[in-house]
Amino acid sequence: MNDRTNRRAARLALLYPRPWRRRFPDFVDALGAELADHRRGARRDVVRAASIEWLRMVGVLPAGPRDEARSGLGLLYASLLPFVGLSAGMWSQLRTATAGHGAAFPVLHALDLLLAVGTALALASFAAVLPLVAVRARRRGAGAVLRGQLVGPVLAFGLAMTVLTAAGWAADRSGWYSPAAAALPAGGLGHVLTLWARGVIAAITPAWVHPSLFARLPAGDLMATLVAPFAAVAASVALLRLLIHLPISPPRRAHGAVAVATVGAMFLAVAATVRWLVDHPHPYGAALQGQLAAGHTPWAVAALLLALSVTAAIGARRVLRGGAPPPEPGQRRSLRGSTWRPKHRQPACHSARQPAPSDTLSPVAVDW
Amino acid sequence: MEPKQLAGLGRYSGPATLILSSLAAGTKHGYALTKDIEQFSGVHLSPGTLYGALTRLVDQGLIEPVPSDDERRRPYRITSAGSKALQVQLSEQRRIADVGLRRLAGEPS
Repeated sequence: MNDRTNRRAARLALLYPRPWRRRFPDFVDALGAELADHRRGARRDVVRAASIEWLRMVGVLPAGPRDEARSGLGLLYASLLPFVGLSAGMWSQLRTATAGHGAAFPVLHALDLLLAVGTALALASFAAVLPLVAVRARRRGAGAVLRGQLVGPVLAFGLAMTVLTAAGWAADRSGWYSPAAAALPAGGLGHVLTLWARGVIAAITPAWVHPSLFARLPAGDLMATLVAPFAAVAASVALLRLLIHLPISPPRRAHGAVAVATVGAMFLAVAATVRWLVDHPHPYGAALQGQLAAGHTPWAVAALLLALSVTAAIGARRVLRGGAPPPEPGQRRSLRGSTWRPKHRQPACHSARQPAPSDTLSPVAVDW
Repeated sequence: MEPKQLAGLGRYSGPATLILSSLAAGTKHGYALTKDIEQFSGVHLSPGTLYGALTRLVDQGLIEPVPSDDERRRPYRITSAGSKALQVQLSEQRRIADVGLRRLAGEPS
């Protein structure tokens, strides 16, 4: 194995998360030997395996049979992020569209109020989780352990939010305007506190689909557009790691995840109703349609909402399964943690109390 | 030791059996594992797949790294839990193979 092969192996190994690389320092040597053998597909295999390790680290994939709760939480979170973005987009369109029509559309205004109250409650509950858990851990004398686990994610989250705030400020300074940001406070402390959200919104631009638009963006907008996506992803990952490390018992975690999924589904239903009202050839839609962003086909939105809902449901189910007690051998868990025993077809001469014939395949064996 | 301890390895369950079988003959480092598995089974495990399975086996306590001066060529050994898991798994596979072979031969199962 020469130096060049060694360097290639070391570069490829960088694809893995740092904690994994620290655990398996011998990987580079094994990979170098493989590359020196000129095996085909080694790089592809490493890229795939490294992606899996990243997904395991952030909790989207289970790290083991006992880690379903964590992976379910990750999956739920991953599915809720685009859902929140989509719902926020719909909501901002609703606000923009109804802004000039006063009380002409009471149904839309009622839905708007419902979304606002729901969002405020969800954000307040979420903000309360970390301090509550910290106080509880301190009372139990586990404050130092908790601090050790949370300090990294908290710092990463703070840094990412600072970058997002700077991006939002830069976009604001360049005279940037977005219908989605019209719903945010326009001055005072509220404006300062939601600058980070302007950074996120500034990053959602058609320029990603039509790159020639980048050239037309003012410097502040351009900076926000290019930096904010990375900061937003970093903030999301840090937030997920925070959630994973919070010392919440599996049953409570499961109930929390189900509550989040339920609230998310309700929010989704309201937002979809608004979307339908706006798009449908109806008095509301007829008056509002011209003021909405073009290119949103209802079927595409519905398909996306369905995909996100199914993913969130799978995540919630995994969290529930992870929170349930482990099943006995030969049993399978149901959604609520109760068990289901597969029915073996037994010859008439065997009573129910007799053991099954030795060559009957058990589901446990086939699972492996 | 129950077979369910080995469940959940998903796509790594096949490589895990091969790795445990190889380590049953003694400690080996990553590259030596690849060569040994290739020799006795004809299956080549790329480093990505090999270390993916090693990660899960270490996490489950079925194998463990052996302290070594050279961290870049660190050997692994099978634990007692790993030996039991392999015993259960291979017995199960033999039982299934016996059933299949009996049925192929037309014998009542």
